[in-house]
Amino acid sequence: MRWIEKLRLRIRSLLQRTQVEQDLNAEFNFHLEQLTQEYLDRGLNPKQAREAALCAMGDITQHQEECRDMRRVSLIEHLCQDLQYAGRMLVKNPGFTAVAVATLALGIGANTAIFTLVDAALLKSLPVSNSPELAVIEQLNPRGEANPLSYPLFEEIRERVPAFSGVFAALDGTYRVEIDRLDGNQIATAELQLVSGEYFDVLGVQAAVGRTLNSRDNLTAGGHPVAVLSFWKRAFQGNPEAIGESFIVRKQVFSVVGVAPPEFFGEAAGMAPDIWAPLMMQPAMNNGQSLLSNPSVSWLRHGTNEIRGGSKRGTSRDGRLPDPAQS
Amino acid sequence: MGKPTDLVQGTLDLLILKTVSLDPMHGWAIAKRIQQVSRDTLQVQQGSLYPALHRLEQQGWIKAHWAETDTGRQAKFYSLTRSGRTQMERELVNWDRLSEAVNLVVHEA
Repeated sequence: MRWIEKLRLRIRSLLQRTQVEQDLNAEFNFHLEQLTQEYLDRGLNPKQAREAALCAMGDITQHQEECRDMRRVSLIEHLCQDLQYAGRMLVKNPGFTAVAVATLALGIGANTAIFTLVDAALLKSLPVSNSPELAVIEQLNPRGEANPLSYPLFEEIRERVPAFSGVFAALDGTYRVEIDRLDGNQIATAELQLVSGEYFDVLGVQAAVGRTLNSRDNLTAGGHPVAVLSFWKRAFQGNPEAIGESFIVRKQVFSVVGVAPPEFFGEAAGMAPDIWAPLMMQPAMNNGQSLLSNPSVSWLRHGTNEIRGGSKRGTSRDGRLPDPAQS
Repeated sequence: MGKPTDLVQGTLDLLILKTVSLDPMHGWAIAKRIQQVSRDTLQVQQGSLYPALHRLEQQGWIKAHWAETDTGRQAKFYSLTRSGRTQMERELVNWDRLSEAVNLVVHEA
């Protein structure tokens, strides 16, 4: 039980300092009394005896300080000794050490991963203004599964549903693209998401540098070769500000007009596009084949930032656009 | 032998451990006993005695408790622990070896 006793002693030293101090004083006082008594026995009077005793004791404060030092130094010395011993034992038992380290690593790793997931998916809100109000517009197939929508449907919703104060469409995912410099040399690979012009405005995201896309970037197919960079990728051309730089993706030249703020990663947790470009540039991404006027291709996620009139989220079953007055 | 430097730390430890191994004692009594048994040769001053006592207590070789002396005063009594006994024996062996070695050298005829 030796180590328990030692531990108890050390904890006592730490926690009961006042008691330890009192004990120290009492101990020295007792010694002083005994010494005084001795001088009394030798025939000195009480006053002389006390003086002689004090004189013989020397510097009591210093002695007490040394006692304190002994306890303190011992603590640290023991700690170092114990750590060294632990280190030696671990080295002597590599199998055990390996298992212990692996278990700890697994445990810590698993917990971190799960927490990060839960945090991103449930706890943190999206880095956009008014994020509780954001709603996704989906179409449900007969089995009740949600599907993305087509571009013509997006245009319809945008024009014809006044209850949605702002609507955007975004690619349901990202393209992994190679970025080339104007001279043809590849710089990097990146994730590129196509979004409609009003994407940033509807989400209420302001550019950190330059401008975001706006609704004037929605006008003609192929006519808006501009891009907004993610804050963390803004330096891929070596120029930290990057505004005005051009790059080539899938043979289309783009020019950087803005940088998103650092906390913005997109409209959905788990995505992190490096580049946002207007949906109007979609034909360039697919070899000239345009999906923009094709109502039967469903490839876009739609979102709205506010449903006016206070109506709640709901479902429309008959193919008509939902009546905002209903719930 | 009043100065702390005159006595190697391990030797003072040994003296204290041995003294309390016979009976629990307070600091004053330990110093007196050492003085008596060594026939006044060894006089341990409180400046070395109490730091040593506190260090030995911290290391777990002696333990302390407060009790009444026969004159009715409260004093801090020290007694030997089990690991203290082991340490004492260890120090005894060291001391014997050391003193024998010194004797051999200084009494070399």
